[in-house]
Amino acid sequence: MTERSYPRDWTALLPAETARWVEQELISGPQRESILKLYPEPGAGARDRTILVFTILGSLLVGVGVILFFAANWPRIPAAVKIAVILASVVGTYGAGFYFEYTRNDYPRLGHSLVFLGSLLYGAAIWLLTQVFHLDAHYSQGFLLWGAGLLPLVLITLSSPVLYVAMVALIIWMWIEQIGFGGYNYLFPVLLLGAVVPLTRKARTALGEAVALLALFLWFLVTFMDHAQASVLILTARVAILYGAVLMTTGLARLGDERAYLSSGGALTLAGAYALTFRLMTERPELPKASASLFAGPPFLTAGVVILLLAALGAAWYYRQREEGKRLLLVPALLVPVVVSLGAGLLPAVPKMMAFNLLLFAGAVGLAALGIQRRSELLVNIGLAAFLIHVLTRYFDLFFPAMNRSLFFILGGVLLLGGGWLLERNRRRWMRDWGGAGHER
Amino acid sequence: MSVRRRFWWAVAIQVAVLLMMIAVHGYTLATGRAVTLKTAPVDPWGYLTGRYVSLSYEISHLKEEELPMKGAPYKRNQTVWVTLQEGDPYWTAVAVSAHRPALSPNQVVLRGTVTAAWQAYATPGTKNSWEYNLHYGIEQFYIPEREKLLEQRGADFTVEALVDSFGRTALHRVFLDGREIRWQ
Repeated sequence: MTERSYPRDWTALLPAETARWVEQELISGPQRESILKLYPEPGAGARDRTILVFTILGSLLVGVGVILFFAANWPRIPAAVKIAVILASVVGTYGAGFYFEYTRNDYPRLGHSLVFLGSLLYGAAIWLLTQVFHLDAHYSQGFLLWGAGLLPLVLITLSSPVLYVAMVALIIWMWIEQIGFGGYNYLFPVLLLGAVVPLTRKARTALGEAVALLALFLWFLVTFMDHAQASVLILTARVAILYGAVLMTTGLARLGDERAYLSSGGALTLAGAYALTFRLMTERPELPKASASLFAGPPFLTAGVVILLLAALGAAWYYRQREEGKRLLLVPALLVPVVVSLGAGLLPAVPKMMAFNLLLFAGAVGLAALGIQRRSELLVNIGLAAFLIHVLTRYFDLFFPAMNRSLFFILGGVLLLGGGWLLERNRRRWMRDWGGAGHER
Repeated sequence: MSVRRRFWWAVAIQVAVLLMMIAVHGYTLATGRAVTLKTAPVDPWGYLTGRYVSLSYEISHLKEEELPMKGAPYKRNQTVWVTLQEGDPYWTAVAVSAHRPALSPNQVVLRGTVTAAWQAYATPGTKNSWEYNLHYGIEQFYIPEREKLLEQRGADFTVEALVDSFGRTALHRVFLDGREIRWQ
């Protein structure tokens, strides 16, 4: 989107004006946020981020200080006072946040940070109450209450920091429930896909969306993988390749904000392929029976990924019918990692290793090329980083045992410096051609 | 609905969660029947919950060979109902069941969760039998003088817990050699 300029007075007036519109119920809070994002004050982005970082750091310090103060003095305070203090601190902090963000309008960043502080204090309150009552129930539920309890607030405030807190709490809940208690947590993907992902879209946080999708992958792994399997690392890497391809396909099907999907999916696929480029990984005995089949891995695991892929392809086809078609020409290319990941079990050790090396090479170059085409610095960087790491790893793999040590390091250094200079030069040229990260999508 | 109202609704949900925690525990404290249990402090560990002592009860470890267990074998994370019978001075487990059992007047039932289940190898003349570790939610005791308490591991620890009509438990009083430890 090309940046346009607007009179400074007008953009300065807009926050207060739109707040009045919200008060008069002409527009909703989220609509106000969307309008404000359309008309940023000149130079407001960097300034806002600085203010937000400072006030959030301040909130964190206050939060930690409050928790430490009560932790130190807790036993001397009567139970009724403790409960009153806990509830009052949560409500009071939210109240102050609301006052500065919505009522006064002139300190929206401070208000935002106070709401963030309130979300931390709410979590602290859950654990302080368990102390007051000596509760020792299923403690992972505390994280569920914390994370899920914050989601309605995110819906109203569209606060990315609060959403991150909620996501971290929910991920910890899933992890403890499945790894700590050895249970199955099927509510997690429902919450993630039903509430968290839509909220990341609403709050327009690409980072949040990427984290949510990777959390889904984590859940998938801990739910469906047999942790006792000797080849769990190989399976994890293969599923990472598949899931990365699914994410990238979804990204290509999306119009507008596709970066989170392409970057997280690309990084996941490349990381999975990288893990399988080592001789050690391909020579290890795989699952006794499954290694000979096209579907290397538990059938339900493969079925899950294939269903996800089909769903993503379906979505891609749907959007193709509607609008942009060109970008979807790339979708068949994403079948390559899928085929390599699923079919690698058929190959002997050396061709298998070669296949994953080729996949990593093609994937790194492909992602960088996609980044250039889409003018996304992040995608270019991920592709280049994967390429460099790959070259460096293979150099160590192949030449370290055979070459004279001093020559090995000198040649390696020259290779790295030369390669780095070449890549950096091209990267700078691309960035210059695009006119900086402002064009990044 | 105005943004003010929706914001406070969202905050109200969080406050309701906190109040619910208080209410559930308060119900057990207000209506629960007191039972005295033999316990001992064990290794404490907690990264979010501060200073506390872990308590292990005689009823925390139950063996199939020692008392009737209906619906056994139980699985990890399964909820089970442990019937306690009044004794002098301690209440003791007399039965375990997968479903809530009928009780006599001198009995209460606790709702526990199986945290570990294993089969003990049989000795000559006996058969294999299941053993279970159970969790009741009264295993943590937050106290400032944790170290002092742990120094006295050989001492006589007693807990008075309250058990409500749903089988939920709450720590009420803790005694060390007959002397009550006050935590507030």
